[in-house]
Amino acid sequence: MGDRGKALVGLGVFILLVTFPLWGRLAGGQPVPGRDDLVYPDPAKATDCIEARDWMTANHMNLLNRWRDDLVRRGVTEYVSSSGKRYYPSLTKTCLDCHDDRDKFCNRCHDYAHVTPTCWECHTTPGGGA
Amino acid sequence: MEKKTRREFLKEAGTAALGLGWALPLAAAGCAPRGHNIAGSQRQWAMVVDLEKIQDPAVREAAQKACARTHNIPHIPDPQEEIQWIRVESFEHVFEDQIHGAMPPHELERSVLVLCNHCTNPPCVRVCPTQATWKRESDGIVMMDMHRCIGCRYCMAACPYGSRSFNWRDPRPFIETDAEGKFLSDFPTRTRGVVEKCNFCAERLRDGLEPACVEAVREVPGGEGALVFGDLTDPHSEVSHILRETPSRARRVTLGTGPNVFYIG
Ligand code: HEC
Ligand code: HEC
Ligand code: HEC
Repeated sequence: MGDRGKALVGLGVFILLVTFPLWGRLAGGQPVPGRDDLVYPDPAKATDCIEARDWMTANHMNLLNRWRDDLVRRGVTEYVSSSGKRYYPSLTKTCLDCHDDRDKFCNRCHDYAHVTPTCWECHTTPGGGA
Repeated sequence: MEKKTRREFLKEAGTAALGLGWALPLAAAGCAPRGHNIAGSQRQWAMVVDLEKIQDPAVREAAQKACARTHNIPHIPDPQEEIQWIRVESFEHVFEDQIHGAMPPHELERSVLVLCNHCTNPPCVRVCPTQATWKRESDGIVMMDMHRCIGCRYCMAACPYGSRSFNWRDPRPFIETDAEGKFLSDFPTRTRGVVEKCNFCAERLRDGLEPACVEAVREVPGGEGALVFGDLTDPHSEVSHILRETPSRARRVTLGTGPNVFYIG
């Protein structure tokens, strides 16, 4: 094998390694939902979010803004998801009812992403928790 | 992007708003139409307070306590900083424009429950620079959007009834909790720097419930009917009926604000 061959093999291994996070999950290494640093709702309670997971990851803050304005300003008391499910547009009563470990879900991800939403200064966890 | 804290943002916004400060109240003063006109809203929630029945302190306390627990209202002892949605004041003070020298002292000293009047022409709404407070067309409630409030307090200056309170400090340490330290309600608390007031229990009406104070006084012996709540645009509602049959008063009606809390007895 010439240098060229070695380089090609090396490149192949390199590409495999670099893309491991992509195919590693497909190969069945990780359960879905798939971030082991976050605590997801008990699958017995829910396996799906309000919208598709990727959409939620990218757009949950916009959804919350919409819910806020719907409920507080427009008096709309229902959100119909793209799959046709109905939800009461409330941060505490709906989001946190499923995501019942706020610290290990919302906050953990926000800490990592260095965002500090001020919602919890006012909004409680279900049952009046600070 | 450099993130601003809420406080930093508000400070800057506040400085910018100062420039407008002198003009807004002037604009507001000029344009309040006279008299009671409820045409603007499809409905108008209103309350009738029976002064005889609320002379029992147990009735007043029931109303205040229910309000505080429902909305996680802090109990801050310092009168300069207290937060009040429904307060007790003397007749003399509440109806200062309606008293005369021949009124007996026991009348002047009567206790009166006061709360936001959910005015037909609310001056607070006119002055709010962010539309954090507005008159809801569907039912006439003067709403508050805590997310938009920048704490400029123009609304407090504009309200002739003193119905609004400002959070000078973090209210949470002063809010009642249960044995486990949990708040008694999931109604969001407020933060330092926002204005708040009675919302006629908009969140309970949404669920088909009456305002908490109205429900609470009914439980007290002799409190039945001390506070009556209903739609003023509906001629068959209990409030309309009472106001047709019984002499009533409201606060500072000559200002043209059109208060929707009425007093009988
Ligand atoms: C019915 C229960 C339920 C409700 C209500 C709910 N979620 Fe979820 N959420 C889930 C589940 C289950 C997942 C994981 C979904 C998956 O893996 O497909 C999830 C995933 C997410 C994710 C993606 C996390 C990641 O791995 O990137 C975000 C963000 C999220 N939720 C935020 C919210 C917000 C904000 C609300 C309220 C607007 C909300 N959720 C309401 C059950 C719920
Ligand atoms: C998978 C990671 C992740 C999870 C889980 C997550 N968030 Fe977020 N959230 C983010 C990121 C990243 C941003 C910032 C996005 C940006 O600034 O564009 C954000 C922003 C927000 C914002 C807007 C903040 C601002 O300052 O504008 C809100 C509100 C919010 N998240 C609420 C929630 C709630 C409530 C939950 C839990 C139910 C949650 N998030 C769970 C990643 C997450
Ligand atoms: C200053 C206090 C305060 C802050 C900060 C705050 N909220 Fe709210 N929020 C309220 C109040 C008060 C209501 C009205 C509750 C009602 O009418 O039931 C509300 C209502 C809402 C609602 C609809 C009702 C519900 O139960 O959730 C949503 C959604 C909401 N807020 C989202 C947010 C999000 C997202 C943030 C953070 C980016 C936030 N809020 C920050 C006070 C606050």
